[in-house]
Amino acid sequence: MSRAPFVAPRLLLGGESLLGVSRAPRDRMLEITARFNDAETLAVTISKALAAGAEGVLASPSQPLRAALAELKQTVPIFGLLPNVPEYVRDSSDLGLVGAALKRVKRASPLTITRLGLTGLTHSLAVLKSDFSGMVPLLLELEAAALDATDLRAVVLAAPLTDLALAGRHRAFFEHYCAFVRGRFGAAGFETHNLGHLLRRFREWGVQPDLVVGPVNPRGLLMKPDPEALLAELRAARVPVLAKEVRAGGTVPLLEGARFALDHGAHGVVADLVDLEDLTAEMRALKA
Amino acid sequence: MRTVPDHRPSTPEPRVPDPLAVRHPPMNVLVTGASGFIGQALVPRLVRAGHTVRALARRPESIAAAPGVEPAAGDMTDHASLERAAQGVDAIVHLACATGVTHERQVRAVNVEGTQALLDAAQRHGVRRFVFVSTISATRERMGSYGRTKKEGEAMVAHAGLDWVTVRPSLVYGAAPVGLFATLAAYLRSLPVVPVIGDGRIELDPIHIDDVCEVIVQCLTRTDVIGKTYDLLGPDRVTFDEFLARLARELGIRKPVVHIPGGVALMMASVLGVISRRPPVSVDNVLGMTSPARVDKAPAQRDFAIAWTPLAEGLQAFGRLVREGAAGDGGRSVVVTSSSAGGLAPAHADNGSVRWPAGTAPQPLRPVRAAVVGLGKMGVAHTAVLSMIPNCEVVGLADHHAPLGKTVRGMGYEAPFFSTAEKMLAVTRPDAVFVCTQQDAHQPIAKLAIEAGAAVFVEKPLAHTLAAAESLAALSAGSGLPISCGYTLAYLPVFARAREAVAAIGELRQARSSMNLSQVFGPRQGWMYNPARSGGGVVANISSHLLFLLEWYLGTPVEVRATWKKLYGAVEDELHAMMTLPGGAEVGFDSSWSVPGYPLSAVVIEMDGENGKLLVSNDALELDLHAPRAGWPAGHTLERHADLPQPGRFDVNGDGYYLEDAWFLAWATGGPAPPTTVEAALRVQRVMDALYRSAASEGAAVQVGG
Repeated sequence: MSRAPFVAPRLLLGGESLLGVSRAPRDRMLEITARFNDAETLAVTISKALAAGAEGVLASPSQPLRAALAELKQTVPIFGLLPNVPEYVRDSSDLGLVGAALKRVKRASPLTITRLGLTGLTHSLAVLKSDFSGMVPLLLELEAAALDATDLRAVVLAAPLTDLALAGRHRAFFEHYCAFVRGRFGAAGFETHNLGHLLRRFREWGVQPDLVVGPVNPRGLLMKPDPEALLAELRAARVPVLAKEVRAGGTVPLLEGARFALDHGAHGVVADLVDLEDLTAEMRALKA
Repeated sequence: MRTVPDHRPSTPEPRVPDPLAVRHPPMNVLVTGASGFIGQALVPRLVRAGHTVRALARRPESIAAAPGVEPAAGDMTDHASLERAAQGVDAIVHLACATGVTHERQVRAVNVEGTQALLDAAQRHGVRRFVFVSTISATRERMGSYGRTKKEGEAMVAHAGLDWVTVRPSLVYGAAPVGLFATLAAYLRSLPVVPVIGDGRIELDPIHIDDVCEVIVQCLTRTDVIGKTYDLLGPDRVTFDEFLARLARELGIRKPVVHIPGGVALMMASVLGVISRRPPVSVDNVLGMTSPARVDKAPAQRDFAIAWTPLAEGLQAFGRLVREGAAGDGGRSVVVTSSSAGGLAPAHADNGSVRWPAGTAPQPLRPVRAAVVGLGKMGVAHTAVLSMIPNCEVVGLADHHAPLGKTVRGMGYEAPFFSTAEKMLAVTRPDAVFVCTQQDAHQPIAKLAIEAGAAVFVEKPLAHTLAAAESLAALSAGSGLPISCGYTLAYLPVFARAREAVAAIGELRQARSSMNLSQVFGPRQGWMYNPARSGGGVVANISSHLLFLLEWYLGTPVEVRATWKKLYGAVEDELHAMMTLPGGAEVGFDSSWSVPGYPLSAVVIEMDGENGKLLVSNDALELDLHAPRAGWPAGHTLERHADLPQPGRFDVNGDGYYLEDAWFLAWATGGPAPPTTVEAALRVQRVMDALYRSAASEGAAVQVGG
């Protein structure tokens, strides 16, 4: 059965703050992680966001998210932000990179192990060479399974990995990633903290993922290499860009930040849980 | 503090006047492979001849900015980039090629498919003149993939319908940090014996880089050379052994030569080619030393009225540059044209600290070659950042754990990998070395790097013991080479800004500080949790960052009293201390990596002075002053992280890594010292040592440095 053509969303609810790593002030972040540790609260919030116009949730695999999805009766379109880098980094400080990966293999289901084996077989040469193009698909198999999502619309590679390959100018990786993810999961996306650099490379290389998620805000926070260069690339981009960090660490009202991003060529916006004060009203306003 | 030698390629004045340059109108010339050995010499030569140059390189930031030169990003496998590069140019000099790569597919992608794409782009954009720089390897009796594909390239150029000229240089020599000659010189200087493939009696005609450039410049404008292929050979024919002996003499080196039979070398190269994309010796290298080339120097000597550089003269000039220190060490030679740092000049803030102009990032003041030792999380982060810093080239990666090398190279980082720092230093001769290993390896590796003449960046803390840290400081003082330490928080805009506010609160009465992280909630493995290797637990590995900030803001305490808790293993998981400053003020210090709620490490420092209070955290700084002072107003001032300029040009977990690396490289190339010098890091190490001694004595008062 062929998939319907992918249309990049205009508005997503972001769940990065569930991992406790948002750029919002620490007090606010603690409040969010405490509040949404409760599965029912998170489920209600997701449901409200979808009702108010969000087209899905951009989030990494986490216990709160899995619990909330299990609570919900409705199908939630998930844009998987993979892998869960903070957790992987924590594990690797104890077990090493390979040990952290093995830990995930050990807790995987038989179906996931089978998928892992198939993906490993089709990437065996790249795996033997430790090429990113072969290693990342294996990690994605494990992490996508950990999402427990019934409607996985896209896989978005988390910024730390995207940016490592970007600094390594690993064009072949980006091309292979898009092909692999489209064939295996659906749409292929990249999150980045270096949006200007990434869009420039994509333009030069002719690489066209289905979406890119990166920081755009009126303060210039996290806008690399600098705000002017990033905005110039954004205006010229042929890839749908979803702006995140539009509130610039809580210093800009959500609607103002979103308007700024859209005015400069962003295709859509990711509003994180930590960005939302009055979820329904703000989501509706954003959708409008 | 002396800086590392400048190893940029020389651009000596041409010895032969170029009358053709003034008779022909200036052209817009595209040079592919502009960052290579010939490219680096050719681009300024073309500009001096009145042309403007679009200098195409995979890393355009490696092209020195100069009037008349337009650096452009491009890759021979990225045909769209070639299409863009060919727009608006009158002529193309095609230097780019894949050498030292063994996989036929990769070589073809560059040397054949890339060349064809460039020819197609030239045709589409009406470029007429095309100068193809091939190789005498295309004339050998036995050819490897390099020679074969260059020969195919020659045929494609000849049939493209353009005004073409092909030149095939022999071994090109001259002062430059890249290329085969540079590698030879580096081997000669660094290896205990010099391996030579074959019997060393193969004959070659080395040609000076200036002569090659001269010919290429003439090929761009002369009509009588169109449609011809020239073997470019120097005026003197020598055996390889003789060439090596002459070079060694000029460098003042005496090393034994070991000949490796050609068959054995070919077998080794074939095997290495299977297991490595960029082996140290390729099949083409071996064939170049064993299979004669069918060449004829007469046509070039007849058609180009050039005072060909005699070999003796060229090598003497090279040796002179080395002795004068302008050429550095053979393989990483030379000189000396000045280029600005993009107009960037550091400024001194009122409190004496150095700041870069608001909104700008530091950068090396000239091209610099960096290497990374230790490819764990921090090593990878630094490798990524260094790859994005203008004027910086990553030339080597080292880790004793070979799979890590494969992993990093698999991320696209193509710098050669070595299993020991010694080998890497010997072969790559970097200007700066980043030591990102576990703490007990910091001092020995830094020592090797300093002895090799490199500036050193050491991840924090400086060392696993106070004695090792003192040894590092002594090494820096004795050598005059910079050593910096990775106390990243000093580079985060909010903490750097807070240092400017400290003076406003006046004489300190007391301070409290904390740094927490949620990381350890059970027994852990790994070197970080082994005190013999890491030097300690949460303080050594995490909150030495906070100790640095306290030392930077408030100075060094004279006495400390500390207690610790070892909850899960041999190192402390929590440490609580009071530290007494020379004026009597007390500073509280609390640190744990075993508390929930801190997915990212969080720092808070509160300082209470006679004129008010200052609170700084990762989020913001808040200042409450009784009276205006040091440029800060009375009352409440809030500056949030997002309000401050974020000058880093590439983000790896924030701006800090980029700024600390770029500033260190600026320092290593003659710029101002960053805040995290080895002296400052040693002061932190003394405080840390005192804290540990106090905690081990159940909170006894311990003198810092006592």
